[in-house]
Amino acid sequence: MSMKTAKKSDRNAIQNLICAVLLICGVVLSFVFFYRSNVKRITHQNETYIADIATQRAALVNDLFAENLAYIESSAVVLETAFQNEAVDSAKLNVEAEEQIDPVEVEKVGRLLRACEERFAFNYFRFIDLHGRDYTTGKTVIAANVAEREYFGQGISGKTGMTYILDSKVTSERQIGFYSPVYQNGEIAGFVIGFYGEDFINNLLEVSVFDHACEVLLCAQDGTIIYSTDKTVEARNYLDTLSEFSFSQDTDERKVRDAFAKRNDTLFSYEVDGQKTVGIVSYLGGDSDFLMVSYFPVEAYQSMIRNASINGAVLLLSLIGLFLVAGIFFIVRFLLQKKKLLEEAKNSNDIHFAMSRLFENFVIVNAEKRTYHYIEGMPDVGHIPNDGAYDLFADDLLDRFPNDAERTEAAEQISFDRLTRQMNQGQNIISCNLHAPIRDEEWFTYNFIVVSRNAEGRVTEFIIARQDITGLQKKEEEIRRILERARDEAEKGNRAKSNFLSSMSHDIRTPMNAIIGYTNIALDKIDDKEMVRDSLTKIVASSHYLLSLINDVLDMSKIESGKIQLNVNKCDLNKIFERIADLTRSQARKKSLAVSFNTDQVSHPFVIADELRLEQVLINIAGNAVKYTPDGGSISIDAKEAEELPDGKSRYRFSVRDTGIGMSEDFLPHIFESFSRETNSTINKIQGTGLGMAITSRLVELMGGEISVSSKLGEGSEFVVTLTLPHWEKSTENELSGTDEAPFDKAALVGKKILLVEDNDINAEIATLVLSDFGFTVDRACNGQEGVDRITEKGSGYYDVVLMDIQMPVVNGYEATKQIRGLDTEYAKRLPIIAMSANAYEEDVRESLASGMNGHIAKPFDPQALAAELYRRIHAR
Amino acid sequence: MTIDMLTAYGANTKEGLQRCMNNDGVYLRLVKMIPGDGHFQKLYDAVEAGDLAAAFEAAHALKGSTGNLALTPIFAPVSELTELLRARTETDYTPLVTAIRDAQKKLCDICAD
Repeated sequence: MSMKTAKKSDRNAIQNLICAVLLICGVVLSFVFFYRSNVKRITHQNETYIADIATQRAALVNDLFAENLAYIESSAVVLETAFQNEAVDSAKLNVEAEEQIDPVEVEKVGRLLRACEERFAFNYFRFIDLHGRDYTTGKTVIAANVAEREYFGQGISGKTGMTYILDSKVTSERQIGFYSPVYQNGEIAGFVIGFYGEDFINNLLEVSVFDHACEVLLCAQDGTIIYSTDKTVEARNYLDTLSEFSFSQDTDERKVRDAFAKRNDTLFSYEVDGQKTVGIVSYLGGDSDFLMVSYFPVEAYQSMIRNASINGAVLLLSLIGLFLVAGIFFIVRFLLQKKKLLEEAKNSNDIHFAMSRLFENFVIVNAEKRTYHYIEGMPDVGHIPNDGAYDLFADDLLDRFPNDAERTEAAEQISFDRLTRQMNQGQNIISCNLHAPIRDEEWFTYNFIVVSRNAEGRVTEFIIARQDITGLQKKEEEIRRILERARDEAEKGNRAKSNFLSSMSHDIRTPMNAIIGYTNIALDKIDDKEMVRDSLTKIVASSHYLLSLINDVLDMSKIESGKIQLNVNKCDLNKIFERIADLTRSQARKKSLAVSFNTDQVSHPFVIADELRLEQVLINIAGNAVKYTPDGGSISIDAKEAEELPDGKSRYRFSVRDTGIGMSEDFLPHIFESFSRETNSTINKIQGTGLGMAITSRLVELMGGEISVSSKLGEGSEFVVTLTLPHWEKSTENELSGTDEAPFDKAALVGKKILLVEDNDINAEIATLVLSDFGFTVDRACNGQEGVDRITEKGSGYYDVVLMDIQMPVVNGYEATKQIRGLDTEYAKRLPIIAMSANAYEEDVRESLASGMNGHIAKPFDPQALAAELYRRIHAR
Repeated sequence: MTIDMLTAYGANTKEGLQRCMNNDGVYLRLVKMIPGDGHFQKLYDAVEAGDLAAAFEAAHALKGSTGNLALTPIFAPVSELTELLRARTETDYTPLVTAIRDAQKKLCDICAD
């Protein structure tokens, strides 16, 4: 559940994105579609609307016209009656020449017309006589002659009808008129005509939709525009204007013309300034000769579309917005989820990684199917596949065990049945340690860990994780070995102790018994002087032996318990050697042994050491040599200063060689152990505690030295002791001293550092000898240059005084001194430099002082005088 | 070589030993170094060549070492020679040189013992 899930999530994301895009496209397309259908719908809606309105209005107008026709008819009758009442003689009116008209009659007509006009709804009420004379309600009754008008002909022929005038003779306005014949004495005397003016017509036609005025035209069938609510229309004939129209479809123009021609209604749509709208032609109906053309206002039309579109757009945007929001929400959620998954995956990866560091491989076992699967790590090369039956895994592992017993045990541990049984009983982790030779001899801890259980609690999957604990195991074994060894040592120690005690008690008892025995004998034979003397002698011998034994034991125990402390002191090696020599010689004389003693290679016999213990060591070794060398043999004792070391020490080497009985190879390693004595018949006859060498070697160790032995059975042995001992000052008895020198504190010179600048080796050696004796630490330079170098090298304050020879190659004493004084330190200027010279003439003294030397001493020098001078110089500053 | 032999030779062994802190070993060892000292040859060559300055230096060195060890048979003539050479005296050094050579040879024999 790592990379795979992430990839899948990515794929999902892409899918989601594609869906989103498609959806948006779909929505946009829908919108476009919606918009179009919107327009269509609105158009249709508007058409319907305008059609309804127009139709209604047309009907209205038509009705009105019809009413007015009826009205004018009755008006005609009214006038007829009025004529009758007023005895208007129409004959008198209808004379040919206008001059011959009876003014009285005219005036009567005028009066009657006025009265009617007041009562009638018509804007203008006129009487037209048979000659076309227009009788009005004005001051001049006869206003015009309308004989050429079309309606004249109609009127005098007794027809009732409607007409229109585009330019009134009287008022120059557009009028519609209704006429009807007037009879007198059964004959047509003329006709009345009632006119309505523009206002009336306007009110009739005026209509608005959605607060926008519709443009309405009243037309005659031939297209003549009778009246238009849009005053800007200048054209006379409507049909002529059609070619200027931008009809939406070509057929619309045809429809309009047809409607006019056939007296039909029709809808048409056209565009004004690119904006679409609809119009309708409505036939007034009946026998009317008129048609109405109504236009749906462009603004209204467009605003309706606009509104609908806006609504649509708002809807769309809301949808899109919603969609986006939803989309974002899902994406964010998805990303968060992905992040969480990645984190989880990382965690699990980290754990995985950590586990794989700890465990070498992971195998997951399907408990129900009894199969294994390697999750991590490789199955050990070549043997088994990554997946397989559990038994395959188990057998492969068991095959590696070369040892049957181990294999059986392992089989038991990794047995599928046993493991699952324990797991089903509730155990979640089972571990065992196996000594499995996977690669080499290795130890592993096998952990069987339950991963999942089914509803009843039975294990369904468990992991096998293997840990290499070879390292741990090896460590355990190592520790065990160490402990065993320690225990063995302890046991050996204990045994040694018991042996020691038993040997000791045995060894003590023997002389003790002798003492008691001989004491009794002496008491018994008290009067036998010889007997008593003999007994006492033997008692003394035994006592001595007993004492030495006890001393040895005490020594051993003190050494073993670490309670020994060396008592170092100044001693003279030569004197020690003398004593040893004497002792050994006296012992050897009894056995006729030849003793040679050579100590002349010791140049520093004065050392600081534990004199007593050193003597003890040497005496022990020498004593053994005497003891174990049969008569006639020889012993040689050598002491030499093997190497002179810096810091006033030397390594001294003492060796004792004998031609004695020697020791066997088997025994040699044990010689320095307590109570170890070679067991053979010869040894048994020689008295010894077996502690001597043990003590000796311990003491040598304590003194920081080494002891070694080489021996050949039957030929002899050699013991070698090497010790590093510090030298020691010793003031010489001075017979030559000029005792007028003031006595000085010799100890004050000990440890002081002196630079000896001398080219002659022999002189240097002698000088060093003397100076060391006084306790100086001596550094030697072989010429003046080396001397200066040494001083600068060691730095300020190192040397306390310089002893400078004059006559030297390279750079002589004077020169060197000048150089030293020339060094830029206070120390160099004040460092005491004493000249050593074979020349003691006064000039030389002066020259020494001139070059910066503090003092002068002649060669060969007197040690005391030298010491005094040095002391004086050192402490003078 | 022993102290006695040196005493018989003419050295002031008492003084010499004293200088060596009464250590026979040291004394005898140092004495052994004298016959082979390169300065002898340097001296002889210098005198032969007439290089008095070089001869002085060699003689001076020998005077020091033989004096320290109190080897009188060598020390005495060397000492005398040194003072003459210090002054760059023009003289015949043959007698002194011979004396030195002899004493050196004799010491060499004793050391070989």
